[in-house]
Amino acid sequence: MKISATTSILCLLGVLVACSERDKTLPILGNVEIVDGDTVYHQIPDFSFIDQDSQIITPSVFEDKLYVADFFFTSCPSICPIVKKQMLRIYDRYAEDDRLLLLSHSIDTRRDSVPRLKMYAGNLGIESARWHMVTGVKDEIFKLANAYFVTALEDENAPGGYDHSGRLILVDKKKHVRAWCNGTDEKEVTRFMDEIDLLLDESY
Amino acid sequence: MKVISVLLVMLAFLLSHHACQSSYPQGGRIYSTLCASCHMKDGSGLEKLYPPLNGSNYLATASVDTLVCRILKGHPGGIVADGVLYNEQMPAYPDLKPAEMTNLLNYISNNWGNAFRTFHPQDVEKAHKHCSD
Repeated sequence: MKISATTSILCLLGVLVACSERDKTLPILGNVEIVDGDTVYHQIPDFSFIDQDSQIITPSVFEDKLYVADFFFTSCPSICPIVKKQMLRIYDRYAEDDRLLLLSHSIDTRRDSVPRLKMYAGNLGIESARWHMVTGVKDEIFKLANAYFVTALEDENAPGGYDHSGRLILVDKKKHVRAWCNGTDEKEVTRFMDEIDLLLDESY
Repeated sequence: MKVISVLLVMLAFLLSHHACQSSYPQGGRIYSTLCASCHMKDGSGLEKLYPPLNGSNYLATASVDTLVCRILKGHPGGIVADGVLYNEQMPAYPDLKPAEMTNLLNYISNNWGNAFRTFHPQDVEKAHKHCSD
């Protein structure tokens, strides 16, 4: 009798845990404002950039899609190649899933021209339809990095002349930031991909 | 019989201790600091951007002079390694001393399953001098 009572409690706990896992949703990150009595969540503002295929990239490209964003530059001698390897893992894992796109912003607008981005993307072996590598007006890119909670600034003492974090940011269909991870850490990126799966389930 | 068992245990301990010690620890530290961000921790490189060192025929066969000069002076890109053209720039590391260079070359040539060759300090020093002139 004692054993069966314990077993019942464990079963109940198991069901509760299973339910809470299934109902888990990702939070909406960033400051929440109250505007005219309405609760307004942080959103990625509008932008207009140009990608490796000279296409204009605006939020409309990501309409009804989720996307992962990061900030980098092609001649970066420090963390960028490691982050790109992890982004490539995400790109490969969702190769057959057109609901997820990738967006990499170059912060080196001086050197990373469209042809330079084209060559880099080509050597990385990626398709521009699924992974946009963009350049644009420097100040706009740096300002946008803040909206993604990413540090990006010019610093002549930093390797390659720019200081930036290697965060990967997950954005939902409503331009809300829903998750992030350190893109240099393989384990964190594995966890991040679980969060992408959660958001895909929630969004479609 | 007991003595043999004790000796076997001691031998196993010594062998496992030896296997766990990484070869060329200074080379490994230099690799982590200067090289791993592009060539990766596991020497796998990145697609056609940065060449792999793990299993690289180029690394196995290039002359000491070529390898030492590539690392000391860098390269503007356009290196063909194992049939693939790599256009990214290789940074220069002119401050590496001959002994550090030897340890680094030995680390990358004998790590991740590579068992290419052992570089001798006098050969690397000669190449270092030749390349610095």
